[in-house]
Amino acid sequence: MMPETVLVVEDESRMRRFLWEALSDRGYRVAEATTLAQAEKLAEQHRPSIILLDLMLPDGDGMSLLRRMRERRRTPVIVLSGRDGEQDKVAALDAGANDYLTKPFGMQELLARVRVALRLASEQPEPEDGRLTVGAIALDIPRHEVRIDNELIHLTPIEFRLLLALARNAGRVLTHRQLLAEVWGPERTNQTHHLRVHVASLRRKIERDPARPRWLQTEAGIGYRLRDE
Amino acid sequence: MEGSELTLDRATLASAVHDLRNPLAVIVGMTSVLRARAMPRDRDCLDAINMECNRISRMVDNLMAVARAANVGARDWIPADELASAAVGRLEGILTGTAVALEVPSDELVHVDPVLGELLLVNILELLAWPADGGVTLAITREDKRTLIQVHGTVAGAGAPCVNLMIAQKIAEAHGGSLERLEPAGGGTLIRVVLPDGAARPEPEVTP
Repeated sequence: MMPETVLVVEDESRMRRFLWEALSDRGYRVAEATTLAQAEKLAEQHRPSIILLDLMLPDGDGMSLLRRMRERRRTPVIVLSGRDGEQDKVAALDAGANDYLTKPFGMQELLARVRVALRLASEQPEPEDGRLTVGAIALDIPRHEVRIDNELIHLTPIEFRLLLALARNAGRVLTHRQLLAEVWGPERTNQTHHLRVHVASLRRKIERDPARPRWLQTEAGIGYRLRDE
Repeated sequence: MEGSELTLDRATLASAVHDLRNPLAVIVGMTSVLRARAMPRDRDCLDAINMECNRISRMVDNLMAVARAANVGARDWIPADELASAAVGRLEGILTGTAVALEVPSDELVHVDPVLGELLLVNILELLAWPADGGVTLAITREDKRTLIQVHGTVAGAGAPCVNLMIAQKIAEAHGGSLERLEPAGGGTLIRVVLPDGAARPEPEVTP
């Protein structure tokens, strides 16, 4: 089987070296670009399975590459962010980035995010039997049933739709806007406090210890992630 | 804000933070690569490097928080238990040896900037969890259009003035609130934060 190619778009040479070492150790082929122009060229040439994209590049903002990529194809993109503003991360995710990693991050975190993005990109949109399992959480979509460790729990329709949206993207962060649009509709994407209240209620039902959630993680100022590992 | 270190504007600080993050990212990244290849006896040393880098990284976060606290972003109504659990989760692997008890109502909302609110709790918890082997209790209550956050550390002398306390205080003040450090009669250290609401609490959603 051909190794999967990762296109690393990063202008810092030592950072590229770390990414190369981490990815090569796990059998990925690595193509490297240091500018937006080079990245566009290599993306056409190598057709990578995934792109790791730094946002601050010498010839422009990585966001512009992300938007152009999204016009053409669905190659997963993980943004490598040295920025602290949640707005930047939210903007990247809403513009089609599959995930983000805030520097600094370790090899295990990097590889886990790459695995998730590649898995989500290759999966069928819906399992044939209508069942979806994430860790201890099992959803029966046609029946609107959820079991945690085989125990049936009662969710409201909104909680079920929230959990389903998160489970379909297990391991990946979904922004407040994405979740609101998915569950309440595109006209209510500014009602984050309603979202928070329903997520808190969902967490109390699916977590053994809601104060130390095992599955449903909060990404402050950004959104939520359902852990899958 | 007083103090020359706080007169830097946010753009300058953001640039400094970016410059600090890149070398940190290389050290943390390369350390993790070496750890995966290392003999078991060397892993503890690499873990120590990693933990200290993560500590520096949180300090860098705090630098940004100082700049941001002067200019609180959009406050939102956040479930108290979500705020508390996010802060405890952020300190996963750091609060080892410290038992953290949460006394947080499940149906109360707190009106804060979500990111700064989490940083406020992270800084107080980190402050009172040092030295390790003690216990910390985080309690959040509501009274008359304000939120009361009380964090009690069992270790006497914990919570000495430091950057954690300064950051937490700046965040509390940026919300129009206050922070005080007390030594209760029962022992230990108590940090008490009062955050007045910045807006009326929204009506509960009517679910069809």
